[in-house]
Amino acid sequence: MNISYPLNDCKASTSRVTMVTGVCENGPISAYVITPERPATRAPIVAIHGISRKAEELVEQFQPEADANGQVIIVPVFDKATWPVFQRITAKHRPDLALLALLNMLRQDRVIGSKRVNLFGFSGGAQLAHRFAMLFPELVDEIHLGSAGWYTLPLPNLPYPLGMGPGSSKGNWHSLMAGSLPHFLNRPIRVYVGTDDTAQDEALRRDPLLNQVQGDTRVERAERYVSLIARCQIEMGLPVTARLELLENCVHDFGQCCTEGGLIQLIRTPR
Amino acid sequence: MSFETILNDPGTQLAEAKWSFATRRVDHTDAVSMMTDFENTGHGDLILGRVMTIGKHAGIQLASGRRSELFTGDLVVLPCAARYAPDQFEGIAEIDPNGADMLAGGGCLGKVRARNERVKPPTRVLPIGRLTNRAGTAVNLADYALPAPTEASRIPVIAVFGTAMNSGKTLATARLGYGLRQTGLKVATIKATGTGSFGDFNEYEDTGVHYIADFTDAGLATTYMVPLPRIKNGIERLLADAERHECDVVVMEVADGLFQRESAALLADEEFRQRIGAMVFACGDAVAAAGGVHELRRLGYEPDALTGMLSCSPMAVAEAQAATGIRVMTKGELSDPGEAMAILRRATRSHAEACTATS
Repeated sequence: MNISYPLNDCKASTSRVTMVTGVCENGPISAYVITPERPATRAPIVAIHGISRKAEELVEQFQPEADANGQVIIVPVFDKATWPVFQRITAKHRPDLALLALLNMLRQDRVIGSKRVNLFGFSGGAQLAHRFAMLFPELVDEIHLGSAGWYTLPLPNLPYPLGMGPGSSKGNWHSLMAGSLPHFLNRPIRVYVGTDDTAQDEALRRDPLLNQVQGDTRVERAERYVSLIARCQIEMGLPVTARLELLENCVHDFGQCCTEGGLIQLIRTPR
Repeated sequence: MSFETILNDPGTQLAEAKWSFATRRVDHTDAVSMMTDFENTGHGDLILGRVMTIGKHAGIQLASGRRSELFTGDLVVLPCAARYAPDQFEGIAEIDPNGADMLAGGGCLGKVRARNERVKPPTRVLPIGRLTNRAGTAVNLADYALPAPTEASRIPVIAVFGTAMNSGKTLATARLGYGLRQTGLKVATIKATGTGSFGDFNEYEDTGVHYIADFTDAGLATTYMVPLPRIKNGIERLLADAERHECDVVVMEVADGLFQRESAALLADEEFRQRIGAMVFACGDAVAAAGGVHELRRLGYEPDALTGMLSCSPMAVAEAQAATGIRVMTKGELSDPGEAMAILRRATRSHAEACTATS
């Protein structure tokens, strides 16, 4: 493990923040790793930043969790030069390999032990989180998706990455995800979005088919996604674990979702 | 002690001898004496001999994992065993006191029965003695085998079969192991049948998988002409040991082609068929793929993927997929954690179904 330097350890915190760098086929991948003072007792959380790549903001919000819960928190940093696209898994862009490389490195160094991790992502990070979980559901315990712009839906009649049908993207993702769908749907899937996250900003992907299928805003898309996942779970005879948490008066802002919407607390203890 | 006595002292000779890879589990101090009743030599008995002439095998694979060049006069320790290698020799487990044949570089001494016309005659070894222990019985590889399991293993198994030697099975096994390893699972790669050799062993090891073993760890120098129950017992020993090492999955290579004696016997065995969760089939070309898949289907197997030499050629890939309806995967695809996980998922599902069916 390449430990470069300890970050601005929060004064009130007993946990330690370290930056590590791993390597996968697409290049290096760094991450902040927050380790609690006492031995970790709960599954680690991988918390993935959004398109603005403010990993430090996630570190700040999640650090108290490491202290309170005895949990290792891993915050990957997808730098723009190496990872211009990290939200989607495609033949060219393999952020899934980056996450696997990080986890393996941390396992090798005994920073984490368990095979499964809890996944959280905000915005673009939520896109990667749910796609990674669809590809490797056996490696994931809980799935927490915050304010994703859009989702890969478990529908075979829509081309990947919009759905799980054959798409224009090179690769076999659609059939791999179709094969692992029952495992994915068997996980707790929590979706969070601010009630005021309705702006159709530049970062929000829009095209006629996407808008028609998923809706015009992040709120609408989150509602439809959770409804569809719940329906798929019922059809497969699985317990309905999909749940939507609306964060009152919050816009598309991770910091606000945490401080005013109680996002971190909801991840720890669902209502 | 005379110079001649020192020269012929078994202790001195054994200390100087090059011990072949297949003997790597043997405690050298157990060999305290020798017998020269070579007519009683059994499969797996260790033979001390002196190289007479250099032929096909100009080197020996040492127990340390290194190849050593051989010279006339070298002392070597090899197990007596049969060998099946259509591109080299077919040999039987018999020791001619006037000169035995080195059938494989990893350790296999016997008698050539057939030779591929493109290879040189075998390296010849003058047998000095059959090693014996303090009890006066032969030192045999089986004495050093992993323990027999007390209960049936449950670890998921992905089998790798092939159309023939050199069809790409070892590469497929190694790459699939690598793909699975990247997911964070503990992966075992084992070779179930064949001839003891460090080539495959080292290729597995290079991928960083957690556990590696072959049939020599189960006490067999080779599996050729070995009765099926003993081979199955050997496989169970390896699977149980992988489980003891807390592995999550085994990728298991079965040597040679579908029609090879032991491979065919395993495939035809119902218990073995139930134990295999998924199968990757390495093929040399599209015709071999079509014929091999036909044979596998006749036996009740449906390969989950084709791979091997044919995957290098897009034309061969297209032909094989059209002929069989089964996807051809390249080594790169087998190395991909997503693809590897999908194969494991099928293995796990099949295994669970098999367990349900038999419970």
